[in-house]
Amino acid sequence: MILADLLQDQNPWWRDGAIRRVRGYPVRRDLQREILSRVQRLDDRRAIVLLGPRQVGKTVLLLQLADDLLTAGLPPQNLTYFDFSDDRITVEVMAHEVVEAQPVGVVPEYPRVFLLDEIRSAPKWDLWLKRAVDSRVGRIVATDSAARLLRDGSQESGQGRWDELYIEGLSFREFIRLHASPEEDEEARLRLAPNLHERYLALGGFPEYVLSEDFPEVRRRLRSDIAERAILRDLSGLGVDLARIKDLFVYLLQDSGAEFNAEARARDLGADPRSVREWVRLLNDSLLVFPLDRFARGATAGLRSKSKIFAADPGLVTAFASFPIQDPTVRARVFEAAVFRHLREVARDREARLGYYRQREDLEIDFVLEDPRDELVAIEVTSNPRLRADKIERLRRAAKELGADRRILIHGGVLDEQAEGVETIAIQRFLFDPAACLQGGEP
Amino acid sequence: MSDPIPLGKKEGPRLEFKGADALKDPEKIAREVVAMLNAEGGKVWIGLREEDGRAVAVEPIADPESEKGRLLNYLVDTIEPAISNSMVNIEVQDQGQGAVLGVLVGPAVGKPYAFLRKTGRHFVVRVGDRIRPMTREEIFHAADPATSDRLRTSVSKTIEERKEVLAKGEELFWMHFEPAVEVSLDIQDARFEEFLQNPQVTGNRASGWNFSQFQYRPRIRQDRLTTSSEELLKAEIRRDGGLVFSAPLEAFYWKGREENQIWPPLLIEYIVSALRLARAIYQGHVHPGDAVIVDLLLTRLRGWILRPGAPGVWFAANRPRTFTDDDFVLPQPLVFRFEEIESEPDRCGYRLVERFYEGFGIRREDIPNLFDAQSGRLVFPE
Repeated sequence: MILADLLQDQNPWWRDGAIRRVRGYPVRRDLQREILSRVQRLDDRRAIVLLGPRQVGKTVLLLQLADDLLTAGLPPQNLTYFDFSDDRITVEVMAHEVVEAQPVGVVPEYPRVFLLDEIRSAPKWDLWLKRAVDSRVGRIVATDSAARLLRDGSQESGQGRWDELYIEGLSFREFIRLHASPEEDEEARLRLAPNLHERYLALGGFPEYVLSEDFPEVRRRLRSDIAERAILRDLSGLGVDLARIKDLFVYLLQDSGAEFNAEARARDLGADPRSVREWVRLLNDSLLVFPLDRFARGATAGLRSKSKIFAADPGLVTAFASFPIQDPTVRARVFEAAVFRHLREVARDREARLGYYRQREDLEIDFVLEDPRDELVAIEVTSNPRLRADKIERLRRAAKELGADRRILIHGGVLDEQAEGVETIAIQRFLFDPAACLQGGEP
Repeated sequence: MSDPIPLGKKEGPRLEFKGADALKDPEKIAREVVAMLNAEGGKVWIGLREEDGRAVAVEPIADPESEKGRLLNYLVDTIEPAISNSMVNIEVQDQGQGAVLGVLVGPAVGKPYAFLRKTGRHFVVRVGDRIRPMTREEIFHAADPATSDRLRTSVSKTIEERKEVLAKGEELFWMHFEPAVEVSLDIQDARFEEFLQNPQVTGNRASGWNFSQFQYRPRIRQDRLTTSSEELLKAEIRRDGGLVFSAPLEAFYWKGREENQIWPPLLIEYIVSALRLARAIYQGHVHPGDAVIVDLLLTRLRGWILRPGAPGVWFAANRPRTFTDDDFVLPQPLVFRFEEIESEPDRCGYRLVERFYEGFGIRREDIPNLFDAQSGRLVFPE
């Protein structure tokens, strides 16, 4: 298919300005609002590169952006969407060709906006993007799923020219939003469906599967889409051993939240420890797993310690678990992955430091959050619905040793319980509004 | 030990023969079974040709195990009140001339029984080797007088309460349980709180749609344990054994393209969860043979839609049915024996689901196939 035809097909608003491509997807993700507002800021020439793993909704977000821009009054001919991974593309398409294919009727008073999906498939895209930003061709939003490739080629060029934004699986609040009726807010829906957090823990935050009742099928598809496709497609071309990366990935998910021992894994995989560390970095760059460093007052002590590696999303833990989700060990890992996913967001927003704490074998805290005001919050997670006195006591002792200002225990019950010196928060309340919980307020 | 195949024997008050063809029209078999349940019990043989009331030859049934399963499902679905294994049992017999089915109908409690067909409930009784409709008086007096008095009182109480709910005019799902027996529940029993807050204790699923995951601690109010006023879904356990589970109708909406679309798995699981809770709450307080009246009401349902079939392939293409009355009300509350709720709560729930679908004009075969045919359990893969 020739480029002009593809562009006409992908931009139906060029022939009829009233057309919207994703009217059937009215729910917006939190990040979508931020990107929309940035695109509309005319004094900002920087491009936006949106990075996230497969299946988290990057394409839908981009198309919603198109719909919203048109609804906000952007002349239809000023908007160009292009998906570089369209399987009808038979000859490589360069990014500049998409920009140069200007439709008739562009209104010069408005900027042109380019929404470029899977930009990695465009050769030398980073050089083009640098020139495009410098020459102010318009407002540009690009997406891709392979963070590593973007960073390798682009870190330097990107300085001052584009902002990298990261999109993960749905937060719990976004998950609820997808269940709500059009006029309903998340809180109202949660009151009508008080155990939605259990579905979130079982299914995870991959939008396509949120409404499914067939949990085993969702897990099967996640295994296939993430392990088979994401790893094989996104990491191919890097000259790495994909089969062993896949094995490592499955291991990391099954052991989500455990300290990572590169030497031991290297022995299991028959590989060099340096390669194994590099593979973990690749998986992290693809936003499929996230490391959590050991918290230490002095930065160097933290660097010497082993990191814990977590699945990026609770759904990945259940999808790859060797046992059913009801198994206490699996459930504990799912809880921790869900809490970590939400803590990461809070830490990013507050520019806070996040780690785990371990002094001795018996003195450990799952998460430690140090915000710029130097408040130190110790956060322990238990999937148990009943609070055990020994667990609370251990948290108190470890927090004292750490010098934490606050102690929080996130638990698997439905009610907030009392425990002296420890704030106990039901998992649902935490996931619903982690920022408010960490501020000590009622969500 | 199974009876020998009664070739040469004559039909009588406790013996009936049907040819293999009867399996093509199972309503005829249900009619015979109900007639025996309302009399002294007996046995219906299927696969025996009869001449002048005498069994003369075996008409072998191909694939008898499948036929047995299908027939049992049919009987369970169409006989009311629900039957249990101890009352109706089907066996396959093959004594060298081909397989036949024997439907053993035990002595029944909870009379009168009826079989359901489109035109309503049909009460019949076996007299000699014939069947005739039961008279109004026979239906009324079939139960023992003390039981029927209690039953009438409990049904009246349920209907009065139903009227109050209807009068409020809210958009509401409402399920009510009333044992037709004197009950005194200890509403301070800590287990009851746990039932309302931990779904797995009552056999409900943690990530499912149920009345057992309330976020606030239930409160004691006079003679009842009720969920907090903060909750939109409600549950109430009364000292006298009455149970109420209710929810705003919006709770049944589930992200369909249309507004006010009821999401079938959600509706089904909520109903079944209430039955599972009732089982747990009544255990040790209600005897197996006691009757429990169960009512289901969905008020201000006009305009809500329900699609036939199960979500998945073609679901969205099925023509949705719109509810055209103001409220969904059962003509009469259903009556179960506690042993039915205790042994097969999901099957009891299914009967309510079936009535609800009938309210939308949807046939039994278009109800989502979420119930395991053998166990009758609602099965959601987890």
